[in-house]
Amino acid sequence: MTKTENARIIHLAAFARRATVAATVALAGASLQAQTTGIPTGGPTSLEATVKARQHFFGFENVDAATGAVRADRLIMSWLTTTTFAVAANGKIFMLDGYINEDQVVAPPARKRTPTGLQELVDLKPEWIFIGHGHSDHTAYVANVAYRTGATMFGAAEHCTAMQTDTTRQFGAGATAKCTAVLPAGAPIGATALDLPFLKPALCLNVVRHLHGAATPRDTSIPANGIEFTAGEDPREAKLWGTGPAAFPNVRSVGSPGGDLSVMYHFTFPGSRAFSFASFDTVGPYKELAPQLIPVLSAFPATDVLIGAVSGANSPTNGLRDPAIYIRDLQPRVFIPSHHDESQRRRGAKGSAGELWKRNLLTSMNHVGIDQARQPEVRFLNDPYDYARPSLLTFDPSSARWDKTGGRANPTCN
Amino acid sequence: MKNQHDNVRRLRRSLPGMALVAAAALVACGGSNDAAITPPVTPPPSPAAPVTPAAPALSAQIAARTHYFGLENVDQKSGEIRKDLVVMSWLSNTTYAAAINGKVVLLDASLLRRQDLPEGRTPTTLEEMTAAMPSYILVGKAAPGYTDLAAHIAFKAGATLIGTQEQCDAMETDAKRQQAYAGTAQVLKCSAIVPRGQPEGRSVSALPLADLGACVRAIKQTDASVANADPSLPPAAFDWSADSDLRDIAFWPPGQSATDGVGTSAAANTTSLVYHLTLGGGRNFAITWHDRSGSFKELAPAVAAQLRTLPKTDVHIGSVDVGNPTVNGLRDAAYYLQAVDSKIFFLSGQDAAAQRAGAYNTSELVKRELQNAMAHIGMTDPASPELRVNFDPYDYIKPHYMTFDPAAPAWQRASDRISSTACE
Repeated sequence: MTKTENARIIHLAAFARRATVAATVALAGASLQAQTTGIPTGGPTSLEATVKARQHFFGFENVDAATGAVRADRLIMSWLTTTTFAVAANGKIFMLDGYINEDQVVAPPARKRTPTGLQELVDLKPEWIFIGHGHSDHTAYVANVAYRTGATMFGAAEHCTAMQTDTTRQFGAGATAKCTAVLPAGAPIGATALDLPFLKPALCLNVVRHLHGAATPRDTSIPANGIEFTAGEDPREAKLWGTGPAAFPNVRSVGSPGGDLSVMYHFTFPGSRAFSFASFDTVGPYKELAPQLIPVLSAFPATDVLIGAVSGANSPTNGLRDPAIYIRDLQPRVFIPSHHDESQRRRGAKGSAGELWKRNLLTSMNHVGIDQARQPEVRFLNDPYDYARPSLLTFDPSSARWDKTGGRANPTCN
Repeated sequence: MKNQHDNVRRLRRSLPGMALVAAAALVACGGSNDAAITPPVTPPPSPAAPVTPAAPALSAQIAARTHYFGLENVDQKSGEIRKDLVVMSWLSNTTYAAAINGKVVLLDASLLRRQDLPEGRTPTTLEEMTAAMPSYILVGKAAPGYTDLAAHIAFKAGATLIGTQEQCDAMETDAKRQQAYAGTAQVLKCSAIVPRGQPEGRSVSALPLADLGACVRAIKQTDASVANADPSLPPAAFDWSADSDLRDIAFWPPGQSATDGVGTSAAANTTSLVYHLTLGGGRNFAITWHDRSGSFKELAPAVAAQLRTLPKTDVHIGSVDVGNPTVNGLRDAAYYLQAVDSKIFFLSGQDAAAQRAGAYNTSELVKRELQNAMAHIGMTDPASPELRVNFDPYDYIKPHYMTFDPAAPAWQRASDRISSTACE
């Protein structure tokens, strides 16, 4: 890490002390007067509902049926559409982003394509919610879930400001958002904060501000590999799944400030393996628009499992080149895609196109120069069938697979 | 119960004649060395009998096991598989590779659309199945589509087959034909868990396998089906050819079929086995697997009665490829779910059934039809069992989707059945 890069690091010892924008735990009660109509209030339905939600998201075999506790010796994640994941790590329950695509009211016998919804997120009773960036397709439910469960939100300072606005709009002027800033306002792209104390002793946390997705001209240095949003779609989709009105149209985010301010989160299990996982919820063309990220991500602590957005404005032009570049620089051992479902369906595609998008990613990794031997195992997620399918995303942090000997180090948590 | 105990005694008496040859040729990772099935006196092999060939290179064994069971579960130097988990990979139709107590077990041995290279719709090969060095191969139904590769793999890997005595005979015939051996010496090791001529549903046979830390139970059943609609249930019909995924042929164009000619000549009949595996070591975790589902309500009620005597099942993997879908939907499969009463059910065989009808990737529709059938027969709790669906071809060889920790407390419930058939 160069001196310049070091300068970007915000040493959070002091920052952490002032970072909590508001620490008031303000669990909503049923009697609270919502400021916007159609805003659901109240906390988790019951302990039984929390157990049921956690069993749904993490597998019944991993959840204590009496307490709802989730086994602490695994990382278990469930894809809940777009870039929203429910996570159980070292016994802590949290969410990455907080949005459910197509959370609709579907009349039987038609079937709802998205097998979860806002109330199940509340029943999950997460302890933390991490905001990748501020757009509503990532944060629509964040303030609502956080306020109703007492969960602490994490984001850049701008995100915390937006969450306070959302909380006030939904729950009234006296309602306080519980949000901790991991980056100060105005942090530039490439700014990092390492070994943050907020999650200890359960987990260690690193963050970096990266780049939101954008379209760029075709990269002529590599073969053309663009992919249209309708490519590979399943023509049966409309027949298989019903649709209906949005379940909670008024639960949304103002989306600013911090709409396109994007933060990647990197978590480490304490222990000799230093097992880590990370998530970025938008994929930017930083090769052209923010090349300063190349040395930052190339020197970032080792990432074992990387969840990354693979679809965005640059897909038709440059295919999955941008996520391939993130993979090239972060060098994960396992890569898990996200956002392709919502990104396609928002643009009118039928979706369920995972196979073709997976192939495009594999080709893109070759194009950007990742040797076959260094390419990660890609666990592609096919919508909607891989929603809430925790077995696909369960990892044992103690496995020898995550040994760092001879590879990139992860000094976090040491 | 008396029948069951008699059966166990008969099985033990017959063991010395079952497990033969090749014990000395066990190879690096695999091959069975279970004391429970090793005869106290091993007859010398016929001098002319073919001997188990050299094991595949260790690197090939490690690669195959890593593919089937996951990089995090396989030692990259020795090929050993972690013993504390049960890891399974769906290889197509009703064939699975399982790692139990660190040993590789194949459930059936056949591949849909099998090719010489793993680049087609089914992402594995006979060569890779052999390189995984299985210790055991459980035979459900000895027939094409189920055991095409069983004799070949058993011979090459030194694995022990388990099945009825008739199935052992059929596999031995396959092996002798494949090895061009006309002698009388046994070529394969095969443990007949069900003796010759036993009627369907007669008993639950039990076989302890110490190296798996398991008790294997088996029920002989029939996959015969009735041709008439069940008048006691709402009308149901399922068309396997409907709603095919039209992208499939473009994604997975038909390739060159395997050219090695390996197959089975087992005569078609209606016999198959339901297997139940209880893992030992105090973990009390159990799997039930069957590669066929018949109309036991009308044709073999004794099978249903025996299924209900089995110890509790945590994970049930069962064929939904029933013989009468046009008149009874998936009713026959649903009755197995009801009788086994597991916590989780994995659909199996739906890929083969659909492809026979010219359709692809229809598992979502199969699941819905199964749910309808379950409701029709009175299984009204949508969460019991939890249906876990493998989608073909995307979920072929996804070991993380079928990884189970037998020690997890959640497998134990007060409502669990107690075993009525001791393994010992």
